[in-house]
Amino acid sequence: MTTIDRRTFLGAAGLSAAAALLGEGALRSARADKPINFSGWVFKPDTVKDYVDFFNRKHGGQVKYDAVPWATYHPTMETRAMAGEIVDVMYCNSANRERWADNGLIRPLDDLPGMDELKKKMAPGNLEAARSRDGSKVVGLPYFTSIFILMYNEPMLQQAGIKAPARTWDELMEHSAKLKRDKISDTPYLPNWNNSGSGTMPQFLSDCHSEGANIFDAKNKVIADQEPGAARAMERWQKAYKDGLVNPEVLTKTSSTDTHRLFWTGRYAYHTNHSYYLKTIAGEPENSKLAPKKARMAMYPGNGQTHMFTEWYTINAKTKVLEDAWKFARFLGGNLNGDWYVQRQWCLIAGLDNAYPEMYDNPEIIQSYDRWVDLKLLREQYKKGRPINAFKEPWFSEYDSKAIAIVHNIIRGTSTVPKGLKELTALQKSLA
Amino acid sequence: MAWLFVGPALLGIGLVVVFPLVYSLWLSFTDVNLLRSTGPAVELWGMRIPLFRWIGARNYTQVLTDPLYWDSLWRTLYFVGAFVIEATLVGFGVALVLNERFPGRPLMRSLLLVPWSLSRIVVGLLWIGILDFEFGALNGLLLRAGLVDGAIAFFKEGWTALNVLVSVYMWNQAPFATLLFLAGMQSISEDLYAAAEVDGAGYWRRLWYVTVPALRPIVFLVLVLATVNGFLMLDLIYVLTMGGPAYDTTTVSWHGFKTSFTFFKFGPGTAILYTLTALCLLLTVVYHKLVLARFEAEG
Amino acid sequence: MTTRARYRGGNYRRRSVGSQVILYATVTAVALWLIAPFVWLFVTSVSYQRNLLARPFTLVPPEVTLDNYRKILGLVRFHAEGQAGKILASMWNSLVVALVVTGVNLVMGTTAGYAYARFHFPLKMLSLFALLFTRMLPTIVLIPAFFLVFRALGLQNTLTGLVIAYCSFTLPFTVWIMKAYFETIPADLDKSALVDGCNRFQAYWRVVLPVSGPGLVAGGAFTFMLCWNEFVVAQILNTKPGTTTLPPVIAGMNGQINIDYSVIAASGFLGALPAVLLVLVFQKYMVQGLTAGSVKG
Repeated sequence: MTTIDRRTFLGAAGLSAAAALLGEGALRSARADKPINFSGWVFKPDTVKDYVDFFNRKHGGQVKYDAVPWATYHPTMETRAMAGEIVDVMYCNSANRERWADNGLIRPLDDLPGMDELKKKMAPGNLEAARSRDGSKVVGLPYFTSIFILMYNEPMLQQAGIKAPARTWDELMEHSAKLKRDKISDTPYLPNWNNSGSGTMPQFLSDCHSEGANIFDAKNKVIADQEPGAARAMERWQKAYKDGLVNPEVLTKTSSTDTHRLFWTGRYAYHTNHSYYLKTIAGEPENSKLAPKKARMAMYPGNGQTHMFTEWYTINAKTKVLEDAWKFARFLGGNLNGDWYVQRQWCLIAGLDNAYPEMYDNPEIIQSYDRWVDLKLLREQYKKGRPINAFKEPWFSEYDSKAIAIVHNIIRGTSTVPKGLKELTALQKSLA
Repeated sequence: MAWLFVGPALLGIGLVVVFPLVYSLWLSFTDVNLLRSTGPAVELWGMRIPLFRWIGARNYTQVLTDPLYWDSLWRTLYFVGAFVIEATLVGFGVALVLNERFPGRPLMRSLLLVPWSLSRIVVGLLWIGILDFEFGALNGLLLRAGLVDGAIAFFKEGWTALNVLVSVYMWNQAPFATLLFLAGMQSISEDLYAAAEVDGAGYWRRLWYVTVPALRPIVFLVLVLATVNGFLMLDLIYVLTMGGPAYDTTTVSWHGFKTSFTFFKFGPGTAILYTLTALCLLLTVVYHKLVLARFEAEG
Repeated sequence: MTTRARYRGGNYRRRSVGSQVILYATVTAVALWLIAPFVWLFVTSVSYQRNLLARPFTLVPPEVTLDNYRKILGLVRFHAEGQAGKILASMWNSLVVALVVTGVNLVMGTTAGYAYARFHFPLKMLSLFALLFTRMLPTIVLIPAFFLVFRALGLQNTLTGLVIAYCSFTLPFTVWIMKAYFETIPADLDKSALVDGCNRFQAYWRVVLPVSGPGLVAGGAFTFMLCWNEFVVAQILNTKPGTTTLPPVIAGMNGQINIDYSVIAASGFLGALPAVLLVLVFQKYMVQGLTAGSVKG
């Protein structure tokens, strides 16, 4: 199955009759006039625009790109689909992908040319994540992989006489308390508790994993209330909040991007967030007071495990330009030209973790990461990254979204830890 | 004859208000799945309107047994109460000031319309510029004056956030109340004041015995309008808090909005919104009884 | 109306120095409260973000720049130009929708308002009550219905759809305001026109309307303002890029992405100007029209 079944393709385009009448040449030019609509959430839209332009120039594409704010991206895209608009290629995060596949919004990619080769190139964990719930089909190409890491503000720790960054959560709490006591920082710790899908819940899973807790059982049911590790993590969060070690504004931030910008100010000592944000923090002196390399990465406290997940490029099931859309999707999420152009760009420009291991053999990429992070340590952290399977459940996106409020209540002490964890379990039950 | 004049507008309102209202009511009794959108439909003037599956009052029972609904309702009642009181008192107070004679009074009356004429999106935006933890002007001023040790996080606690919402909305809406009060004050007969002054009544006594009683109908009007506006407020929540932290600023209208347009559960969503509609209908009756009837009677 | 007392209620005699001071202090406070937030929006829109973040804080920006406006107008390349570039297009959409809705409202709403002011007809009170109710209706309850019906009609993501949806909350208002306004015009005016041989419609069109300028301005400006500022309906119904109005675009930029607050402030200020100017220019009529509309029922 390496070529598109022509009949299927023409049928999908609704043009088989026209093809019979006009012959292939006419069809091809008619198709070339059809633009590819492409939407993604806002993350470095200028970069995306640049490589879309590159694709249009180099590959004669007609891609029309549109960026949608992260916090409302998935509902907006669903609304657009329901309104009958066909966006041919779309970003989709892991929490929503199954919902989209399940409801026929996006199509499987296994039958498209070149897919088998990409499957071989992908890291096994990422390939597993790329498959639909029943494991039968691949429904997305990787945009990037994310792992949570611990970052620290080296000059601030030095100023406080702290020799090494925290290795355990207790140490991190002690350091933070000391920094606050010594008036070196108002709120020394900056966890990514933002209000969107990329904040509180990935941070929750990371900290629970690092405490050795399972949030989902083998059948993907939530068992947070039975895990002492989860309770430990939440007790710690409550304490950090109550003792004023955390800037409470973080709870109302609407993206991880917004959250990490707080760390730029140099007013915080520790920050936990997606690994790639260290690149702007430690690598962009024009923005961040912690560049160059005044912010560093340390192994995640506890057992070192953090939450790992992959975000996707998906193809609309109703696309009328399948061939072109697939070509563009391969340009984005695969290796259209043998140079991994977009995948490589994301490593170089944004420091995104990548689902294709061979990226890390590329000297240019190694050099680029060295400018802002200890790449060896980052790859070690990657190995300890722990994915979940529950994201493939159809209820997951709603659970993931509604759970934020419950966890925020735990953090703020408006709910006790056992009560909050029970609520998480109950929430999942009510949706399943 | 009258119908020729009224007809087009009523027909238009029927099409754009009554029909959607009825259809939404229908939706609140069905099992809407928007993504798939299969099931029975009705052909109406050539368009296919999906009817979905009738499931009785199940959406309502689901919504009304969810503690989140009741939490939102109590929160809404607090929000509305606080907003009505603030908007009325501040609106009245400002009207008293603007009713005094001072140079530049016409200019002040124009300025009155500025907060009121802004889109609530812009209202939220400009208050972010003032209240933000990092770059807010108010925090900057307080820090600089040495009045606080660290910046104040206005949206940290649910309670503070809710009250900030009330005050920001009040800033936007109170000027309209002022407008109404001023109009009322202008129409009070000068003789009443003169008579009161002859009786030796000072400023505050005149205010209490002449101004306030004369403004009673306007007070009612302001109260009812503010109540309805309080119940319906949505856009400020969108810009300022998104219903958070946690659910602490989630009102019934925000709850209905989220359910309908974030999770795309139109069934429960319309059910939530319909309970709000019922409340508004109730208020209309009150409004009618208290204000409209009075004026109709006066002719 | 006596000439002596154009002014009512307060201290119209000479004030003592103490009460003068209190009055001016209060007036200043009120003025600041009304206008300072909006002025600050303007100040931030001509500032650099780094100066807004700088502590200690300064009320007067150390540097003044039009860069934020240049970014919106597409004169300067920057990283979020795709987002900022939507501002102008969406302003145009807002303008078109607001103008068309205003037009529709003035034609249909005014005519109906006239009838309610002058005629007695069956169902008058009932339909008036219904109008009052629709005025107080949460518009958002209609959106699911609009959503599905517009989908069936292909009206989602069109300005026509928005015009239709906006009539649902503006038309009842206009009827109401105009009814109240026409009630302030002596009925004798129409009667004499009828005596002179006009029919009802001619009396309305040739005699009453020409003297109704203030009412029309009030109703029109108010409708325009409501449409220009509307957010929720446009946000939900018009999601396709390039089809929506200004408020959803500003809300989309707000706080979610790598866009400086100063740039968002510039778009907010630019977006607020038309409505603010309109209201300031027509404020006299609007105040008359709106207070009449509200007070008289």
